[in-house]
Amino acid sequence: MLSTGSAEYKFWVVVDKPDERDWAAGEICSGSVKYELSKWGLPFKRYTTPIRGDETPEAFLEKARKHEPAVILALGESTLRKLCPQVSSGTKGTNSALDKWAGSLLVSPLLQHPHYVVPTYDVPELWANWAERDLAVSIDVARACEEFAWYSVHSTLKPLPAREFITNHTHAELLEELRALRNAALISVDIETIRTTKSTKIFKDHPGCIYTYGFAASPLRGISFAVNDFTVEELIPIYKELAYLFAHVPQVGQNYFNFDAKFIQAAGFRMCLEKCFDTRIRHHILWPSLGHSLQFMTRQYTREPYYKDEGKGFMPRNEKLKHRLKRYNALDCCATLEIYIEQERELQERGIA
Amino acid sequence: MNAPLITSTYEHELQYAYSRIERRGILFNESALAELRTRIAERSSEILKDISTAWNIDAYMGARAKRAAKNAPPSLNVASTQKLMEFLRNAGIKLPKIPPTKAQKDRGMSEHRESVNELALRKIYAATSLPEIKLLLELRELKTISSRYVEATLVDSVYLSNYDVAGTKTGRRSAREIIFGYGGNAQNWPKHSELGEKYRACAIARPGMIFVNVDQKGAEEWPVNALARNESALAEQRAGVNRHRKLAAFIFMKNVEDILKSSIEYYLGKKSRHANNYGMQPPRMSDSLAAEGYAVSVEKCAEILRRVHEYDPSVRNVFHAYVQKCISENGRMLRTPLGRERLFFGFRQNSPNYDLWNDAYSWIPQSVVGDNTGLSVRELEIGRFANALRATGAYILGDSHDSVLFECPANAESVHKVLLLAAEAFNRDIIFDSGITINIPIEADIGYSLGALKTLPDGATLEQVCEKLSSCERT
Repeated sequence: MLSTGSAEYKFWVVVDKPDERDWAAGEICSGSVKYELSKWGLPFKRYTTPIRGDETPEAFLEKARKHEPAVILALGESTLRKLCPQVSSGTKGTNSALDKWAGSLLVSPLLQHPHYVVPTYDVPELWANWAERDLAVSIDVARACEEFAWYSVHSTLKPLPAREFITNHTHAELLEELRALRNAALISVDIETIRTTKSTKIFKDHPGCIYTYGFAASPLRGISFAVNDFTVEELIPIYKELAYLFAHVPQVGQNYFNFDAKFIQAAGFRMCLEKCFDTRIRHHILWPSLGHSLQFMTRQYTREPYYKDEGKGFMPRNEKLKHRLKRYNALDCCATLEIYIEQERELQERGIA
Repeated sequence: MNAPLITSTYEHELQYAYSRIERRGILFNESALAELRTRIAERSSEILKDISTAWNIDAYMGARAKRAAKNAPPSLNVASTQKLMEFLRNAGIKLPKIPPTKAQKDRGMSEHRESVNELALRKIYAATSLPEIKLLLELRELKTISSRYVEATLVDSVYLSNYDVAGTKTGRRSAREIIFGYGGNAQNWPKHSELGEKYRACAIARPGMIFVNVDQKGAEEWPVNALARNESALAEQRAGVNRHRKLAAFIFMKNVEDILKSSIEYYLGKKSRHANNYGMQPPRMSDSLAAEGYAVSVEKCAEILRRVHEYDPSVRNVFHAYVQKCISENGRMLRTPLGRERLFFGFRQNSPNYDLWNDAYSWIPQSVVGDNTGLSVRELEIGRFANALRATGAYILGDSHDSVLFECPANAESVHKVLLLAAEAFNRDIIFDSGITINIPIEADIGYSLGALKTLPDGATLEQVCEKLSSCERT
């Protein structure tokens, strides 16, 4: 048996299959890989096992169903795709699934008990890209360990953030929501824009226009509406409320100054930019070497699984897709605000706020 | 340790300042631009005709609407990388293997590959002296200037640029076209070519105004010498000694007086100092020089770098050693004297870490200079000197890392006042861990077009400004 540790342990490290050195050593993740894993801060009591090798994948699943690991650290793209086939659809390229889902708290449809699968890159890949190794260990592996630490104390997994998204306001309800935001100390704002399709002549020249506005005053509750949810007459008081918010209430967004603010100002709104914040700028001060996308910061600072694909494939005449876009817009606002709060703590700790 | 000046608050304030600056833009003389556009098109046609004749082909660029006639010579789209590579291979020309660009490295590419990019063409030309290759290089330059600059969409004859404070790892601003497709990157307009000069000449001050460009003198040399604890170099800088001439004289074993500013030796002195400062290895230096049109062999570059190190061993022995120590022993963190921090991911004990060191050596000097500019822009646009600057009628148009461009009412009093305010804004003691303090001086140029700037004497008096102003030609 190549697996090490006891299957009864509730923290599993899973790889796809053993390599030649593992066969020679008689254990999975042997030699220098074992040494590397020892530096990752993993729980001492852990079970390390391949999906296939000396056992079949079916035997692996049977073992997992029997012992019900609470947290599974999945190393490598193949491991992720086997455990969580739902992430595979539509993705191409060697690490296309991991590039999106690394660090996410996933659930395998193949296992029925409560658990999280936390994927990250496998050790040989991290050796080839040492900068990514630091990120994988400090973000993805640390997340798996934190979830397990919670489980160890509470005997249950910490639930994913339960956020509320309101995307189907009546006119009166929306006005009331927007008026309530006047009192917020800070609102998270995000817009989604719409453009012509690539096949049209003006696609290259026309940057698009705002289609949805999203707001959140709390990381757990976001709202979004589309400009064509209401008639032109109904939009007038809505835009008056937006005008107040943009001109007076401090806002935070992701790449806010160079994207959202440009469109919002082009739409005719005056903005109090001197009071606004941008999570991308804050991340640049904190971690200049890292990418500053919302996707990456969501992975780094929140427990929200990857969701950026939900914003794709939108078509304005499809109500279901429109609703999905608005939900995505509201989620962006909530995630941005959560990131802002975490960044504030870091900035204060490092004395560079 | 100094309290950090580079904070989240600073960068937000600076981005807010740039949100005001970027609305102004730089005015262009559209008829001069149109003439340049016509000249570029004519010259491109001439080149394609010459290449077609020399190679007995039908050379063209870009999409072609019509199919070639039945008996026409074989056609070649010289803008197509694949087609050009195939053509040159078939012509018996060996294609050089080129290292990946920074963008390619960031995407994970590490192999050297055959290419016909500009660097590759320069290497081919150096090896073959084929005039057609030189023509291809000229065609590339024309196409680049045309597509990136001449054809940029202006708004009411104004070139706009969007500045991003989070666009680089050093904290320098990056610039690009406004999201709606207007303008472009005003920081990297071509400078040193004839075509670049012609383009810059199209950028003109608004009626009644004049450009004032303020530059940090010897910019990155200051933090390099401070980090190298090279007090004599700093003394030379403070005394205004031309250190590139002295280095060039040493490298090429000539008298300082014999090194002219326009000479290749002067140029190589300057470039090799820069290469040595940032740990550039001979192959990379050779490629870098080739990209600027100078064929200098790897062996020659190695010899030059050896001489530079002999002249000033403190760069590697003190400055580089300091950076290596910070990263390998202090949690992989570098911190500039202004408080900007960066964790260097990817540092691997017992590995050469070549790419990382190249990045690390340049980081503090580039950050210090970029942040010195940024802090000054913030003070002038929204800070201590904002009201005074507004009172002169002048305003900031943009920055290019170590310099700031103003547009100012074209009278001596206003220009002189802007110079005084800029000097105040840039007047900043920067204290390094070693205890060495630098304060980077500025110099200034004025002119009615960006192609015709004239240098003012250091600390120019009102009379000197008046004199220089009167010598500037209005466009």
